[in-house]
Amino acid sequence: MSLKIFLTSDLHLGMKFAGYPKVQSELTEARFATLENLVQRANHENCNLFVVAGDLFDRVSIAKSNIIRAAQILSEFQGNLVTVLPGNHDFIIRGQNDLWAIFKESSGDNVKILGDRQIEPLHHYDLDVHLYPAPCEAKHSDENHINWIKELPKNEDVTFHIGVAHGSLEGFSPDFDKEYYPMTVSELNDCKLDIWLIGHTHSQYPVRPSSQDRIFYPATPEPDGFDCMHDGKAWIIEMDETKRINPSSLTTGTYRFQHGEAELNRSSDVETLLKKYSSNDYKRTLLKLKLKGRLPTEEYKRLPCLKENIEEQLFYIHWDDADIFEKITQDIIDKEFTEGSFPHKLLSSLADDIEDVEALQIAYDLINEVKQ
Amino acid sequence: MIITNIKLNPFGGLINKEIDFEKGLNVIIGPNEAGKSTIFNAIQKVFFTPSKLDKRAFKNEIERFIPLGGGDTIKVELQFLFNGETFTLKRTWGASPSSELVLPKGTLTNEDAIVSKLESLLPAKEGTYKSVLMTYQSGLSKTLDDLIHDPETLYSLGDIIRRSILETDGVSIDRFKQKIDKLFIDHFSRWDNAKNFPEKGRGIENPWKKDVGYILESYYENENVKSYYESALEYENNLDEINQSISNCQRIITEKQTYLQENKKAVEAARKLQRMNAELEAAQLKIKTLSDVNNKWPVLENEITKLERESPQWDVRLSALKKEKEEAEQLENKKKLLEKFGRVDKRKKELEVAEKEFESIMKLTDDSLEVIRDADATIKELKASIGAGKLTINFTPKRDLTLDIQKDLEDSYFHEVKGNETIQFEAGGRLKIEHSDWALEVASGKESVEINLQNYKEAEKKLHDLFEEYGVESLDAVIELNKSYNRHFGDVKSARKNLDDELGTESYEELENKIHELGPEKKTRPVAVIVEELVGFDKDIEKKKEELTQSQEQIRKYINEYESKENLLTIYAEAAKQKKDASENIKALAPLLENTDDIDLFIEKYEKTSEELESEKENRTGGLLQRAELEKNMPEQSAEEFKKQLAETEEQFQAVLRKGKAIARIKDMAFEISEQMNSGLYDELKNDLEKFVSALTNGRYAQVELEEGLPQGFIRDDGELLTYELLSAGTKDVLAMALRLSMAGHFLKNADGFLIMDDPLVDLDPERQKKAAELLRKYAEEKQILIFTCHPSHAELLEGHQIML
Repeated sequence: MSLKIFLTSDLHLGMKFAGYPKVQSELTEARFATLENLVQRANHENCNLFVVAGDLFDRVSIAKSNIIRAAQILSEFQGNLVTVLPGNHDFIIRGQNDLWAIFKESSGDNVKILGDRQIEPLHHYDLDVHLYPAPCEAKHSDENHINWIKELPKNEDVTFHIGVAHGSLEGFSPDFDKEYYPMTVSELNDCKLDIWLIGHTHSQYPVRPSSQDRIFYPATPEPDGFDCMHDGKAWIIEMDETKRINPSSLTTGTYRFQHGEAELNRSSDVETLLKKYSSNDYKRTLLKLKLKGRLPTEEYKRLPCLKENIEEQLFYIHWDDADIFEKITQDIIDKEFTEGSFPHKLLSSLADDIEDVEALQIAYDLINEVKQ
Repeated sequence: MIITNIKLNPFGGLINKEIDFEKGLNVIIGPNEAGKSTIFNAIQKVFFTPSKLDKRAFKNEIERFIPLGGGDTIKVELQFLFNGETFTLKRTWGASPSSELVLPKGTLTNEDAIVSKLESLLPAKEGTYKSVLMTYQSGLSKTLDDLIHDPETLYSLGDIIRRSILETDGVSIDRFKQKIDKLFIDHFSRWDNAKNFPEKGRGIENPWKKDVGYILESYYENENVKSYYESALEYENNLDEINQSISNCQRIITEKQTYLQENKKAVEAARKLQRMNAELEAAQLKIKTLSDVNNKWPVLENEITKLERESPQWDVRLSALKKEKEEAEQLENKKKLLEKFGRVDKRKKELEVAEKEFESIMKLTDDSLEVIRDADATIKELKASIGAGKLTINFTPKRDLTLDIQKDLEDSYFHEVKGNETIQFEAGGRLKIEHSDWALEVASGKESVEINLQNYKEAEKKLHDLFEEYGVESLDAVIELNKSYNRHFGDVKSARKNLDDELGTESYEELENKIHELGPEKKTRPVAVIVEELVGFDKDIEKKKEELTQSQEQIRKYINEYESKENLLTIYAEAAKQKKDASENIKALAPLLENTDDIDLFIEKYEKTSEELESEKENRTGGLLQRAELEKNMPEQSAEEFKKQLAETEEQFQAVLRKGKAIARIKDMAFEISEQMNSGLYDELKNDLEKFVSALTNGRYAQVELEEGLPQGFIRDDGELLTYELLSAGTKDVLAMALRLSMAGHFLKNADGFLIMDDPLVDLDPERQKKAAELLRKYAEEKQILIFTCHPSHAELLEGHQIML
């Protein structure tokens, strides 16, 4: 038989987005909508196994209604089984964790929590699979939880031996202090499993998968901030009886966070920028736009209008105009002000320092403000 | 630069209009709407507005000069002299824009090159031209008009000049300063710029509530988020720690519960086995004890019987030995008495010999010896005293003499001395020289020498008598005689002591009588042998008596405990049964404890585990309570989310701070510039101003008073200082023109240049108009002036090159 796995992780349901008060509720809600989309997508693709490789929830203390909602969404999976691994944000502590107790109570029979470091045979779910979970039991740990698998004899009568873990991978994940269950490729390979499905790092791994790859990070399916630059990703991984792997990357996010940088020095630059964001492609984009350059006066005055126009096309904009200034040259100063006059002297002195354009702009604006 | 000609074809309402200008004063006369302002604008545009303009700039700058229905292009051609050479500047705006600057040699068509060349030819920059040199209803005029005609505000002359120069562009320094100060305060309020920290170190734990500037506001926001982030991080770490601790407790509890469960039956068996072993051991011990008693009881009874039978013989034997001991002791005393008498007798004889020898010697006692030693010492002392001095006599007779010489105590002797020969005599204390005719005695202290000599003779006699008494001749013989006496005396004394010691308290006679009283001798064993036997026998009897007592005591104990020998056997049978039962039980428990080597250790371990389980359960409860307490302060978001937020607020804070620093720099620079401009700026203007005011007022005000570098007012010809507010309206108008001309001079300096004015005489009274016209004519001798006026009378007054529109 072949196996078709839908792999996701790092939904972080319950994130607050307090830094985005204008769109806070939309961003919070989007994570649930994305989970629903993932399940529908997995159903549509006829996946057998739906794997959440950790951090389904953002925290262990999360509103009960959210837990129930997530459990119900996952229960809508029409394949054989949903497995949910507790990650470092929603870690499990055996016998004392309300989160997973409520989740278990609220989910259907086709949802299994991978809360123990022990082999999980899935033949009860008509899957010729042994899962080897490495659940998290705390937010931080300088030791990974995969060591128990290494020396374990593998049942040769079972076709697929699949590891599910959550933590950082050396060379891929930014875990400088080694505090997120750090793993290495060789450690994972030493476990001699057919494939590893891992969560934690919010970007996808491998970047360009080949049939030789055995370690997969799905990335977060719903971007969660300006440090997350992709559109939300997941994997569908097909494995045939010969253990040949065929991975497909999916784009899954509702919203995307983008950084933009534009250098505006002339009218055409402004037009180009406006044009760039004029399409409806950006209706679900949160954009951090950093403007640089020195614009002629007339163009500079159009900036608020430009912002308004671009903002209309976006879901959210962080407008960073701290480095864009009016083009105030010595010529302009000479043209506008009498030599020896106070504004002429002040602006000329500031214009001497090519780095101090911000002061020049402020002074220029102020002079125009007080000019009668 | 001198403008010589301008052509407008078309520009505004003028088509194919050409005007020639001359060096000096040019007066352009025309009624309103005749095109004066068009010419003014044409001059300004041709100098400063490039021909190629974008749509917006074209609309703002040029569009209004396109003739209505007169095509889409306007054109101005301006000719000017620079250092005697002719330049022609041509600009066309509209459909076919072009610029051209015809130089004395060559032509420039590139806009940038033309602008650059014009900048080098024009003595001032565009801004200066627009505000001072080409004022046509200009800002300067308005400022001056405002100053002059505003009766509500009192200005010092200094203010007027300062504002005229510094605020030419309509920018009030004070207002700018107010603005920048406000902006500075808006940003830096409650922020310590030097320390880059809130004032008085008031961070978020004790924040400022009022007057919080943008920087501090942003700082607090950032610090709050940072604090939330750190709290969340700490919360998560603490939660991890507590959870870890609870997990550890749980793991230990599970392990221990499992162990206790698995070993519950075994430990029960072990405890039973422990009891059975104790019972078996007790039974074995009892059996052994009973067996011993059973064996010892008859033996002890036999022993008692035997000892009781022997006891009467012990006293008989004891009496016999004591009697023998008494007899042996008597015999030993007799022997000792005889031995003592023998020794006493010997000592008695030794005394008798010593006493006999003592009787025969000369008895010179120690006292006698002391007397002889004193006499001898006295002689020696006196002799030494007599000979102790030092006398030297040089004797020289006139003739030969025989002298009898005696020195000290020495014997006298004769000495022959030749005449005139000097002889030297030396003695101790006395020297006597005698001649048949005379005697000479020399002594050191004559009286004491005499006495000493007398004493010496008496002492010598006494010693001699003593020697004779003891039949000796020297002190050594006397000493020897004394030694002999002492030796014999000691011998007698020693012999007597020996005898006394030997006799003790008895006298020789008493001892002699005891010997005579001794009876005949009887043979016995030595006392020591008898005593040894007696002591041994005594101990033997004591031992046997003790044995008897102990045996009797033991038998009493047996009877107390076991009643009788028969009953002892019954008890023995019971113990044997207990032993058998215990052994059988132990055998039955063995399979349950197959893997247990040491049941005591096993039970101990089980009990310890049980106690540890309870302790761990308490620890777990403690951990759960601790976690519940911690969760009361659960942060709103995860640390990661706060971290993302922190990145944003940090960025915002840095931006506000950066802006604040820029404002601070502007503030400093504005202050610095305004300080520089207030000092010495007006000196240059003062002379010109005085010159122009004097000319305009017919010498009435010839001086300007300066105070701290600023003009304070005019000094009238009568010496009275009139501050600005005391001037009449007409004088103020004069001042405006004087100031205008001074400033033009200030900017143009020595360069050839032009000044454009609009109806400068309009507000002056006829007298002043004349004076002003004179002044302008005079001024035009140095600089080109273009005056626009709609008053022919003014034109007439002004004279110069008149241009009629």
